[in-house]
Amino acid sequence: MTKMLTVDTNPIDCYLRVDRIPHIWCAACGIGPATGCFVRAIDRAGLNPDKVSVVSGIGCSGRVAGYIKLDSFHTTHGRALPFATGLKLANPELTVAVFSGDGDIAAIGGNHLIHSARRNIDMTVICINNFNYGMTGGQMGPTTPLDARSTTSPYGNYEYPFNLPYLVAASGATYVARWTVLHLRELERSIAEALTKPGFSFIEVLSPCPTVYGRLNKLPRGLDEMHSYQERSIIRDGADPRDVELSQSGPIVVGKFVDIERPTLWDCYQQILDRASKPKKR
Amino acid sequence: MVIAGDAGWYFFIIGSETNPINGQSGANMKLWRKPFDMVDKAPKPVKVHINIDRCKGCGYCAEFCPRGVLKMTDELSPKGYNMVKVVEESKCLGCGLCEAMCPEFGIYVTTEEKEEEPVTHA
Amino acid sequence: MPKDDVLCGEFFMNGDTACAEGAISAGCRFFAGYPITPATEVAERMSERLPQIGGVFIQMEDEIASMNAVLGASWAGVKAMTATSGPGFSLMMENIGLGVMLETPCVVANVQRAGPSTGLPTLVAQGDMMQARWGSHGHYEIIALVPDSPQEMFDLTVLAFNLSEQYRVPVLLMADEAVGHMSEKVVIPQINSKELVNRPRPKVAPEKYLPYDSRKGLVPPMAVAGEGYRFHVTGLTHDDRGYPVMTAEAQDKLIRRLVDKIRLNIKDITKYEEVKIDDAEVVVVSYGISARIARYAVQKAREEGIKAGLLRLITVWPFADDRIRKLASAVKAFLVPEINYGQMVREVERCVAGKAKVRLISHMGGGVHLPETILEAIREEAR
Repeated sequence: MTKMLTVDTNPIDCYLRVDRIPHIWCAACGIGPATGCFVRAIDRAGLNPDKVSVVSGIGCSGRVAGYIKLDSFHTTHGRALPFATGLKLANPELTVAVFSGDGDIAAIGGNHLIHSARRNIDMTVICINNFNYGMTGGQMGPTTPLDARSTTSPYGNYEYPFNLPYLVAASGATYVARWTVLHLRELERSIAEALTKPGFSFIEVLSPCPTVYGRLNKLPRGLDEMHSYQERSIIRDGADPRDVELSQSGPIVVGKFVDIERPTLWDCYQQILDRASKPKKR
Repeated sequence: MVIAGDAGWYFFIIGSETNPINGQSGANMKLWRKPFDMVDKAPKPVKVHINIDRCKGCGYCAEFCPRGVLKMTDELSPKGYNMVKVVEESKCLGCGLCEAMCPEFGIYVTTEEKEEEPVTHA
Repeated sequence: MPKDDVLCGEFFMNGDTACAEGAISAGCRFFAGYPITPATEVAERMSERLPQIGGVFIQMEDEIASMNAVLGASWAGVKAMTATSGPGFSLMMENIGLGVMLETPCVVANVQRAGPSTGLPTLVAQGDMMQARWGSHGHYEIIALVPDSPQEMFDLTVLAFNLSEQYRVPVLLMADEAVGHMSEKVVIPQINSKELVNRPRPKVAPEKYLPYDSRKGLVPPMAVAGEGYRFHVTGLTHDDRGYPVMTAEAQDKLIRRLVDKIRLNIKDITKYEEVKIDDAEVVVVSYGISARIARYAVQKAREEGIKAGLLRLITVWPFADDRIRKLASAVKAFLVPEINYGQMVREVERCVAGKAKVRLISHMGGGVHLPETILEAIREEAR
């Protein structure tokens, strides 16, 4: 009878700052599974963890940087992308991943989002979309669906939300995908693809937020929101990003929408370095 | 008949009343002989580890386990959360969905001979 | 031009260009900026020179992005800077604070123009001096240098990089439009790389490394991304491990160290120039372009027999408290000509503490003082 191998700790613990676990996220929060997928994707992609840097902004999703045992930077609200830009340009050998929330990336960080996508700088952005500003108590954000309730939209949100895949694809990203935290294996595979693919990769991850968004929108348990993903999501790889907008009760289209090739920012900069080093014609 | 997927995907075994595989009976499918690779493809024994210090009783693992191995109970953990308990460990196939889904990194599975989802680099 | 070609020799260049060359001589190989008059020429020069020497130039979408890109580059181990003016300086404030909190070496040049708001984009002022000290929220300490010529634009940029690496703090180069857009002779010496200061590096194994190890003195060794140290740094109040800690004790310990690392080293950091101070009865305290005019006024006053002297501030923050306090007992009056409605004069008043007269000679901006204005004030105080 062969012996059963007992492992005392969760195998993922070697990637976590276990001296800080349990983490601050609520019970049933989707950020934990997304972080797990990210960490397993690093292995799946065969990357050297010493060369992977994580930059995050402010918010619940921004706290990911503090729990992963890699070079990680917890920067200011909305500014993870330019920080990551500086990091990557100064050391192109780093694999830079930006982990942040919907408000951080698309509201205050919106300008940086579109410009980073435009430049096609080689980095992976994992945008955890829980449809509100969770850390500060559940205010509406640029991805809150129309008519959804939040603490700053008590009568229902009267603004149209972003269609993030469309926004980022239109800005020039070369890899755009959306998954929910229910689609764990697909998400893991997607992140692994994005990490190894040169260029700006953007993965929107829909996550339950039972404590605020869910509670205010008749989805009080995390399970309710997860069931809603289960019922409404439909996997459509290659869908046109124009057609994947989200609403409170409409279908949730997930999948890999854009996967194209385009020279990265660094590729273009190499040409500049070449031109600058040529002696001037007299 | 055994339907297998790659490690990490849902791993289903459909046996039959007449030819139970590994003592499990499943869908109504009559097999006229035992598959030659039955022992080979038989699921390895697995153990489910629950870290009661981390579990916050969200119920995801119990809800989404494809084999009904876990169930939420009314018992409270030392931290005051409703605990999840393994009710049918023999049914566990080591797919690792609970491990991936747990927001607290509080549950994981190990199989004989190899660690589940070996993490090689860190 | 071959790689790593740092200029050397005598040149006729404007202040902004000299600032860019100073950065390159100091080892800066990353510039992220946004065009703004009158600092645009720094960016333009950097865009031309950095690719020639294998550095990275990027024009970011706004000043906020520029400041963050500079911080990111510094954390990847590359000396980095940005240059801006008033409106951009205001935008950068939050992230200068991030630089202070993360203890990131970098240089931010502010070529001041008249404000507030859009003000006079092409004309000189010195209205951001207090903002340089207090602009970001929270309590912190910063180093700010003020050049008075294109030569000093070069020299002080080199010094700024050295100070920022030594103390792991963003250093502000508070130039003004007059000095930035003025063209003069600039002598670029051969800079020995040993003269350049680099950030303290960790000497322990990655498992033992703490990003803010208070046992290593006031300036902890700094690891950079990609070397296997697997550190975490955050803008939240943190402990030695770099982890956020929400306690008053952690805040006390952190703020004291961030401030003390500079305040306790004032003697090494604070620089000033003294002209005819020894027997002066009237001392003109000035900085930047105003100091050039003051210098002439002091010279003329001496020719008239007045015992006037000039104390030119080169390091404006931390302020030269001790020097002013000492002079206060020996001097009749301090005159502070500045191109604002009274900013550094408050610091002089604070240090003089009533022991002598302190008089502001202000110019609101858009031009510089007339030497006669300062000279007349000297005459009045000397009577």
